[in-house]
Amino acid sequence: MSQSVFAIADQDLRTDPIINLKRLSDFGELKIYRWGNASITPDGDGNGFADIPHDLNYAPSYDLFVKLPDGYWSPVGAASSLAFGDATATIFGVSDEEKLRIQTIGGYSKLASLQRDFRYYILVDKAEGFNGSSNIALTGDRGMKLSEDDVNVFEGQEYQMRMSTKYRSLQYFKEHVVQETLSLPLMFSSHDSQDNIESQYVDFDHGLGYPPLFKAFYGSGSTLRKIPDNAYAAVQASDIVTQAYYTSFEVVAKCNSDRVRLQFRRRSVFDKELFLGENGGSHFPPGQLISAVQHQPKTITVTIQVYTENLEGSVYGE
Amino acid sequence: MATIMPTMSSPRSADQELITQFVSGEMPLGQRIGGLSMFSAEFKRGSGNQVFGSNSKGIWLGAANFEDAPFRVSMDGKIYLQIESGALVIDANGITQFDENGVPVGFWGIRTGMF
Repeated sequence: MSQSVFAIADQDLRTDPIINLKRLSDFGELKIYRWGNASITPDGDGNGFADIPHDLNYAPSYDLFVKLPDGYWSPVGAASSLAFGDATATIFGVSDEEKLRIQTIGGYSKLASLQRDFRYYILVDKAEGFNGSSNIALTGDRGMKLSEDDVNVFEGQEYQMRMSTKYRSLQYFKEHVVQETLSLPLMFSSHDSQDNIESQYVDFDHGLGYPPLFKAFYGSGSTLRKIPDNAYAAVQASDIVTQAYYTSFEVVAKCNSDRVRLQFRRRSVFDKELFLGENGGSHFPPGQLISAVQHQPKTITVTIQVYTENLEGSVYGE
Repeated sequence: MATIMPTMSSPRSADQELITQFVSGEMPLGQRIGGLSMFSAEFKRGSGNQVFGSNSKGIWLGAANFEDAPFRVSMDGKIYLQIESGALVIDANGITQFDENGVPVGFWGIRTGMF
């Protein structure tokens, strides 16, 4: 790896650990190519899509947010009954060499026939292996560019640039990583409380005065899972298929102009079949624990990264 | 021996000037005094790589010759800053960073159709 061309630190560059450097040209940065707003009004089944064309010639990385009915913005990527009140409704994005497509799929849909608003960020950075030429028009004459190792900065492709002032970059706002812990108590259903639903949340007040682009994660065992959590969507779907005999666990991250909120929703449904089967057809006395799966008490570490991008700010070209 | 007078149309190298015979009553064409070499086409002060010099290519500091110097300024106004792992070239258009293999990997300035 080459040595830094430049770096900007809060303190003394000679003593600051790398993590505290605001900018370090040894590493590439995410470059925003286009950003803007899109809307979808799904059909009566909740199905719909919107295409945002691009001229990159490869499938780019992107970030996608949807405005929730409560006015918050949430990253798009998985089914979320907590966000939309419909666990079978799915909103997601896909990109290819020509476009970013935002798509809704209905299910029992709360999405049907209602306009949904989105904010998209298409990045110069690739989401697939690609070695060809992009169609990015280079019309500007002034700026700064840094290329990857062994790439001629005057001849390389734009996706080979570690940074370029042609593009907006995703920049952290203040402290770039903030962590909190959230304690969730034991939760279960019982004969006399057969469908328990519990929601808890933790707020991060960002003080920006506008809804910022953010990324959120939560600890699950020894792993850190990004929100939205696609793996969870499958779990949630199976809940529906099996008529909700099993527990569910859902997390949503959303922001407005004041805060980023990470909200956990746990559900524990009384399992009548299991109850009857394990007791030879006789009922347990009221209060007996017999939910299919209990939620054990746990302390969850949640992490957010807040960026300077305004999800309700101007769009590209304005 | 005839005196060789340098002219603009036939400049002589520093070495040529040094072997040019001195003519009493005239300024010598070139001089070496200690670590100082002065000729009309080249000036050097110092020894080894601890040299400050100038010639038709420009001025330099830190090497015996212009091409090897870690700091040099060419006659067309380019500033070269060079270390083992790369170099910076600064001119009126901007700053260009080169890696250790001479590949330009960074640019900051004005260049038509680059951004």
